[in-house]
Amino acid sequence: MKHIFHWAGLASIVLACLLLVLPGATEAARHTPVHELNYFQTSKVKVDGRDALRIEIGMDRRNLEYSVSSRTYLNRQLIVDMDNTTPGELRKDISLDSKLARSVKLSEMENRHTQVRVDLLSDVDTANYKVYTAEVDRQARKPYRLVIEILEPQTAAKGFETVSGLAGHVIVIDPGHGGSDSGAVGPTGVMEKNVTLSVAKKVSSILEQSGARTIMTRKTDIDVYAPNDTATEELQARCNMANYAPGAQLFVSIHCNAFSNPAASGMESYYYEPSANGARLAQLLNEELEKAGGLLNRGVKTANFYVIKHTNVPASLVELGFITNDREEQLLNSEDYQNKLAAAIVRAIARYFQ
Amino acid sequence: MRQMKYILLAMLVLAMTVAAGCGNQTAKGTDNGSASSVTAENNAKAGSPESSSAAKKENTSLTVKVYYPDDQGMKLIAVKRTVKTDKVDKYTAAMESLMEGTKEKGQTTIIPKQAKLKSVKVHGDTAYVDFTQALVKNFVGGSTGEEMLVGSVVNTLTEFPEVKNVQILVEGKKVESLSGHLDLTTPLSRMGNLIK
Repeated sequence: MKHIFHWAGLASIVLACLLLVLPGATEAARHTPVHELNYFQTSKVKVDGRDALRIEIGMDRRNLEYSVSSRTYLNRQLIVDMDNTTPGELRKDISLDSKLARSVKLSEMENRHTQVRVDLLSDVDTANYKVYTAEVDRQARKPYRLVIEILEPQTAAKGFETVSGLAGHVIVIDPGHGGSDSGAVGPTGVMEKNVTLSVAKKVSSILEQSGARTIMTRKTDIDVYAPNDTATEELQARCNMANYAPGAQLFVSIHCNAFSNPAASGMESYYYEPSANGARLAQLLNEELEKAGGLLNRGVKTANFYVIKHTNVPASLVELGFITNDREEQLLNSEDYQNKLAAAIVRAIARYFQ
Repeated sequence: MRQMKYILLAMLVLAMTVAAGCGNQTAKGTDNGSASSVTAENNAKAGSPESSSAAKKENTSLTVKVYYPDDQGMKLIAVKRTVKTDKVDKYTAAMESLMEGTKEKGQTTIIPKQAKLKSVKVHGDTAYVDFTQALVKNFVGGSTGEEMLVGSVVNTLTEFPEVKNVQILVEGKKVESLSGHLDLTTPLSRMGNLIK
């Protein structure tokens, strides 16, 4: 019993002490000096070997408290909230000449709370930006400052890639050929069915990571209908997956081209003539594949191809390159090149829904 | 009113008989399409002075146009060939000439050498061209390969004005697709967009 009284007494003393100190603490917060922004500069730099845009926002005193957040959907913004800060004389809307960010906006959201919003041109991903504070640099005549670095996005190879504007969409991806049908075969034996499946899987994974739902006509090396089936059975089975899947919006068939002359080279996209939406999809796929792959662009074409003719949703068939061309066979078989093309196909699909 | 009805009826009957008559005539014309006498006629109609004069001298040779893809497989190039029609009909002669292939610079042979022509028959305005299994078995594939092969056959045969459509057969059966791209289940009309 004695012990209990002893502890209770001690606790009450501690509590009393705390009560004495606390009002002082709140008093101190009220008098925290306010940071006033007074410096703004952007520069092109290299960060970790990647191209980057550095934005420096200077202020009159040290020890800035800030938090970083982002908006990924619709507008791609990086947001830095700064406590006890006023925007001072800085311009509130600064447009940037950069391939990484469009503009910087400053606004005093509430009294002594300033928000910096950077409009990015690629996706907001923690791997693609850095935010930190830097001390006064007298030699460079730079004050204490907040530094925001926007890094060039990395390729899909890392598996983190996402593309915005795809959430909620349903896309059918058709890896050409498969199973008993190897598709075209290259001079060193690379089979079209394996390239198309590999690229389709990468496309599907980026789409899913970006919030879309994908339906693959095949996920492994199989005939979609049955081994040694007829062409109509096989191709109609692929179309049916688009025609009967609830909510399916697009059909993209992935192929590698072939020709009897090994000199033939390049990439192209096809649509079925009367479909205006198919034409638009084929056009976007063609633009993105040209940018990413760098092969001869054979153009956007129309053709009486079974899978684009018998699907009920806007459809396009892409020929990634010629497997019968020595150089392109090697490219099509390379992991790195496949990643590039897969990301390009996803970007085209995202643009279609814009 | 009754009079009007009779007049209308009479007009209808007249129209039907005229239409039927026309139908018979065209059907006859194409049935005989492979006969050599008609060949010469068609030749003269085509208006090529070189070939029509040749046809007058001897009825057995004919200038035809066959199509080969360029080296990139972008377009089909028309090539004039003189073929003999003393042993085979003009359709077969043109197809055999196409299947000889090309050695010209800038042109590529797309039909596999192993493939043989079994027959070409024209019914109505459709040509049915039958190949051996090697056409599919030895085919390089690809969208471009398929378009160029099918385009060269279709365009070579539709050079004959009476042939409007071409159906490709393999071992006597309709082929649904050569390498899984083109829909060949229905006869194809001239593929003019592929011609240079």
